[in-house]
Amino acid sequence: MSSTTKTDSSATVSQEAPPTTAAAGRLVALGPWAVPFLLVALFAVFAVASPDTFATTTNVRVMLIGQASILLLALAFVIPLRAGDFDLSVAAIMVIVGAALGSMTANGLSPVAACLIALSIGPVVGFINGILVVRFNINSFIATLGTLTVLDGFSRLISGGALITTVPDELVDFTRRSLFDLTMPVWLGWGIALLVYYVFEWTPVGRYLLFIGNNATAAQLAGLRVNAYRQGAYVVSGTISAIAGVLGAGLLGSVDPTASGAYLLPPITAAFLGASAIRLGRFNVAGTLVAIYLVAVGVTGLQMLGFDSWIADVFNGTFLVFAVGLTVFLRRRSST
Amino acid sequence: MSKTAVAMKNVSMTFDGVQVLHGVNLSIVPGEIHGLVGENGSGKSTLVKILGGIYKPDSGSEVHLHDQPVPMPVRDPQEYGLAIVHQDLALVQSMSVADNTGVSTSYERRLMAPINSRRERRVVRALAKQFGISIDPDQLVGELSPAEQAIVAILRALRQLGEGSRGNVIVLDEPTAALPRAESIRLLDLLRTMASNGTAVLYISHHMNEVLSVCDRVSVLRSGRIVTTRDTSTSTESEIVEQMLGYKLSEFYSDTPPSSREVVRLEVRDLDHGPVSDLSFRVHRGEIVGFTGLAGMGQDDVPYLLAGGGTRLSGEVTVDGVSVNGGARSAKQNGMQLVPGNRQRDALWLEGSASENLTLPFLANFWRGLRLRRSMEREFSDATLREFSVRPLRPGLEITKFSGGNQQKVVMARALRQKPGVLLLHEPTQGVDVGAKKEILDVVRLAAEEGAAVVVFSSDGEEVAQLCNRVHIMRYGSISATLSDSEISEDRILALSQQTTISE
Repeated sequence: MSSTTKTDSSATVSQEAPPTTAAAGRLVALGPWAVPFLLVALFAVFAVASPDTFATTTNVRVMLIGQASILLLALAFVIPLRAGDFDLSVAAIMVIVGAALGSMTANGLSPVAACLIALSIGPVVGFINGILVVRFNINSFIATLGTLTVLDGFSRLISGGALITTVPDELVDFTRRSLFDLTMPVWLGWGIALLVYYVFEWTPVGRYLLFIGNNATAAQLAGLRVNAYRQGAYVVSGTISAIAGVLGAGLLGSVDPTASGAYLLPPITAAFLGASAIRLGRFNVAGTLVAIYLVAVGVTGLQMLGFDSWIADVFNGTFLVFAVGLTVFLRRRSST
Repeated sequence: MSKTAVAMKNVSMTFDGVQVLHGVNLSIVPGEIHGLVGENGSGKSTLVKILGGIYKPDSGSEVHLHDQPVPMPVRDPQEYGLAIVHQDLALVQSMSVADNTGVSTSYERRLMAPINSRRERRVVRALAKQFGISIDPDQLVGELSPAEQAIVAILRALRQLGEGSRGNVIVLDEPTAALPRAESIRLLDLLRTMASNGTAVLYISHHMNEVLSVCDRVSVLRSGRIVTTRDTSTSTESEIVEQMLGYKLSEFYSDTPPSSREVVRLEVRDLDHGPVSDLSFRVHRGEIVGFTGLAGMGQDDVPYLLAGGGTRLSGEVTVDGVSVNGGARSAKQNGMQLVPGNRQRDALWLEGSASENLTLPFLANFWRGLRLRRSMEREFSDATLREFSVRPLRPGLEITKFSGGNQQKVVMARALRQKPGVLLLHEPTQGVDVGAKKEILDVVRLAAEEGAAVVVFSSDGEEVAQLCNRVHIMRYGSISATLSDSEISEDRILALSQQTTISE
């Protein structure tokens, strides 16, 4: 009874609120399609504003390739989040994997061995995150904030604080190979996204994760292996972060050991903005993809209109808060 | 003092073109306890929310408090001497009694002025004493029993109203829904004391016998209309239930069928943990066994020790001869299902739909050809929700949009569709209206007839008496008395529950 009371009362409050502008009202009426619509609209606006730079296939290609790492990190972030747990360490895993890869190559390891060993860091760190959060019951935000910082420290230790350029040529060649003008990381990112989408929407596991994320006690009493799923989500998350690390190193040809900060917020924004799209109030893959490209279009478009790179931070931060607010608002509307 | 404390005249309410209240008239005089009953969805909560200023009723509606017309929507009802205690009491568990009552009045101080703890204690003690209650102002609310917590919520409301000269109105929205019957008696005493001091009380409850015993008059709300207002002294429970439902509920409870008592399905030996000590019992195929007792005697812990992941110190539990370890998975694998008492906290995925909540344990069955077959899932939930008469029959609707009774039906359906050999029910009809209660209890009977061993852990003596073949009364963690078949009656159960404390 009490929870219905809450939605009821808030609904009445919003009814009494002054009427929103017609445009905003129409956007809200789109509900779960508001964010996808915003993506299309924003794209159209920038295409008109800078037809020679923005509305070109080259630009679209550059945007898609530029978002490949973010896409993988966002998927890594959204998996534990669906089960109710934060994993802030995804970007830090990506960076340490790249740093380890470079350092191993510099020490003469074969490219394949270096890649495999570097990749294995992901599930190990994910497993540790899971142990901290699930077994020791440490708040996931705090626990992964801790591992994030520790990993950043180790990345600097491995690299000596300098840019690592010893990325194996074979890897660089592989990641720069393109198919229909798009490089491997983009296709791999979409492939993994499809896989996660499938698990989320078309298997019982996806439903279990949602149930756990919403009410772990009830899930436990219903007989689900709650801890195993949460632990597993962290391991998968770590693995995908590691893939992002290897591909990122190949794509850039170098690894900046201090880069994790720049990659911290975009996946979080994408996941939360994604929850206000397609499946309202649920962390989902399609919404996350739309959110990533919405932010990318916004930032790129503004930069082409003469804004500096600082606009990326402002845009990401604003959209994170906007996303959470939008979810609350759209859900309230849809519940009346 | 005014002639009428509350007068609602021609109060109507329309949501999105749907009229949920139709010209309601209701008046309460000072010193009166006025009962308000009705099925879930009959408009009780809407009425309360109009009094509390959360909803603005349709124009033409009038509310008078102490003979003064109140502008709509009601702003600051406490200014008119009206306070509302909601079912979820909105207390802070980790703060003291004094702090919980103090915050609502800003401790009667300016914002940055220091709180005088000695004065706080004095104020709370004086307030409690006025109503013949002894309560320690420094105790944390979380340490109090549910009944005491409800009393604190009422004291807070009274403190909020202050020492007005106009007399007070208190609205209680199902304060005893979550209370064991024996505990709610204390609360009812408090109501009587308040009324004798001239306070008008609007008392909303599902418990007919409480309403009849404590109220002076009772109004029945059905589909947004007051269908009758009458003196409780000349009314019977069945008359009021009939008015509520709008039809005669013939044979409210059928006779409990005799059970075979041959095949033992659940056996518990020497269970020990927390408040439960040395508990042994057996439940047979087709049998419905009840556990009841005063609050805190251990009966509320037993179901979770058997099937809820509660670790036990010692003891053995077997289902159909197979030993189970007390975890939810082990229970489930051996055919034991638990329906928890707190469904919102322990059973439901609140953001999910009715269908999603129902189908969770069956998803693996719909996973064919590497994907979840949504059409199979839909068919299953349509058929199941219809069979368990879940209303409205909208599987895609969010579970929180259903009434408590219908949420409970979904939880019951989920458990029963797994064909349990042993069914554990903790407070199966708490906060459920009369019509849904009957439907739920019928389902329980059917499960037993089909061969399940059913164990009901309930504080509702009436429910236990009417449902069970055998009733165990618990005292300090083990069984103190057992009633079988024709010996079972609500009076005896209550007497035996009380007796345990007297003899102690």
